Amino acid sequence: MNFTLANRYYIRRCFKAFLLFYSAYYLIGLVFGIIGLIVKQFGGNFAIGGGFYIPLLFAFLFGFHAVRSPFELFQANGISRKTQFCSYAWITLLMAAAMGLLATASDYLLSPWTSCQSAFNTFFWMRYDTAGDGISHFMQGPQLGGAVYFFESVLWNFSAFAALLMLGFLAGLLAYRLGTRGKLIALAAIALVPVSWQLILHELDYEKEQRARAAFMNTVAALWGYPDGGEMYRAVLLCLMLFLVAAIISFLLLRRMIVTKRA
Amino acid sequence: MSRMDIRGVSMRYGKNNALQDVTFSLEGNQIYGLFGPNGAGKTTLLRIMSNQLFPETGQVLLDGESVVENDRALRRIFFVGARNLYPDGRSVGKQFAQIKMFYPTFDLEEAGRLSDAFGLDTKARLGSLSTGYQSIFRIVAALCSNTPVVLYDEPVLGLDVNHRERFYGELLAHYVKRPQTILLSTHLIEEAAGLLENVILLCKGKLVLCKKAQDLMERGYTVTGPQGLVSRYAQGKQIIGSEQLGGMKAVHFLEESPESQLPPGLERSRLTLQSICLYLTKEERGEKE
Repeated sequence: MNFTLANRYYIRRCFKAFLLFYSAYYLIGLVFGIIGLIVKQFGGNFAIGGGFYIPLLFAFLFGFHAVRSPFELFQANGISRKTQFCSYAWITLLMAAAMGLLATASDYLLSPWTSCQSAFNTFFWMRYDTAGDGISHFMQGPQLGGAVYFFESVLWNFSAFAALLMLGFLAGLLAYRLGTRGKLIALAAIALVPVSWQLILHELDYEKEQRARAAFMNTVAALWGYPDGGEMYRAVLLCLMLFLVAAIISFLLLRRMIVTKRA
Repeated sequence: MSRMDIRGVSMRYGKNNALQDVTFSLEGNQIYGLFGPNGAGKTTLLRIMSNQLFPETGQVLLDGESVVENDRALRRIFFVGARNLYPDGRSVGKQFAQIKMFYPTFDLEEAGRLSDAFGLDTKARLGSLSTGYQSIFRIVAALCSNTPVVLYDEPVLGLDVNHRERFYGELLAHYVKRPQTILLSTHLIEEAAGLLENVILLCKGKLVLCKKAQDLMERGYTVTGPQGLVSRYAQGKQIIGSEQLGGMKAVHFLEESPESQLPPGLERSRLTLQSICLYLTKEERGEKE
């Protein structure tokens, strides 16, 4: 397999995207951090939140865009579909590891003086609430801080980014393979089915709808490790399973894919 | 010297049989012309040969190895399709550098020389080029690939006569310098006829013939004269087409050994390769006059 050639291509592609994204991400973080410090100097309060999801979104979108252009280029240059898949899977693991390290480093570097925190710290802060004061004390001593936080943060971030990179790739494959009608049906289904289900059930039986909603949320929370004080290893397992399932389906979709006409 | 074997390849699009049990071989280091009317299956065949499509049945072998999902075999084939599969946003020069990454035998210096010769701006983005210059980009890439097998699908699409002549000249020059197995699919049969050693003719997904170009052209001829004389002469011979105007008739033949002597009153002329292909495919489509 011409694995090395495909890897080289994907590494160049991801390096550019990586550099651009993280430069912008940290620059914006820095600017808001400085603004926050200045505001604090004058006795004010300045906090921004929600930035944790941006790297997650980047991972998904990177995966989405890793289909069309590379596939057509590889087809024009004698790289087989299985090589493309194996190369992308390998790059996913490398990128997820790098992004996991960066996300963890961001927690250590940015949290002392900004309100920015990684997705892991946002979801599992309670695990490091050693003082019981509702604050994550991950930067404190060895007990549930220090090296344990570092390891758990890198592991969780790695699994989350790997899952999203592969889910994005799967979405990209589906988008490439579906015709215009298929895409419209898929979009309509994603947008309308959950909402319609909820509305219909709400009209039919309010209590049943409330119970169904609660059951759904509880299941998601349980899979995510929430009811047990932030059992992040359960979330890691969920993400790794999502990665695996997305990878298998992606391989099956890619192995017989042909170039479609450009719109 | 690389040999490609196409064995029993069939392909269907819905109810349409795009290819039906096509079998032939490309012997190493020869130039083949692939001809046929629109919808004959030429592009489908070339895409199957380059792993862009999967045949329903049959095999495509390169030196005994299947090309299907085989990177080692694919590394030795360069396919130039009519569709642009390269990113529109990159400059021509960067595209060549990227092709060099995938094909180590790619000659970047030669690509620069040919770009100058064809007037192709290597700094321009591929997407900003006209149809003709996008074709030029692809044919320059193929000429510089130096792979053992090169497949061209309508390479001169959108090219003016000057560029077409230059392409044929460069193709021959490269072939002489570094022989390759070349398969050239084009509708401009007479323009390419001088380059070809072999002809493959497809019609309605079926292989009509695979023969040496020289043999074919020696076998094809037209006899013209009064209708009665021509009809008497034509009896028992392999007719591929005919025309009639008033009392005069012209009949086209494809014979293993054409008679050297003609009866008085009849004239013989050579059939061009284009005419041979035209009449053979008309016959296949049941359009005999």
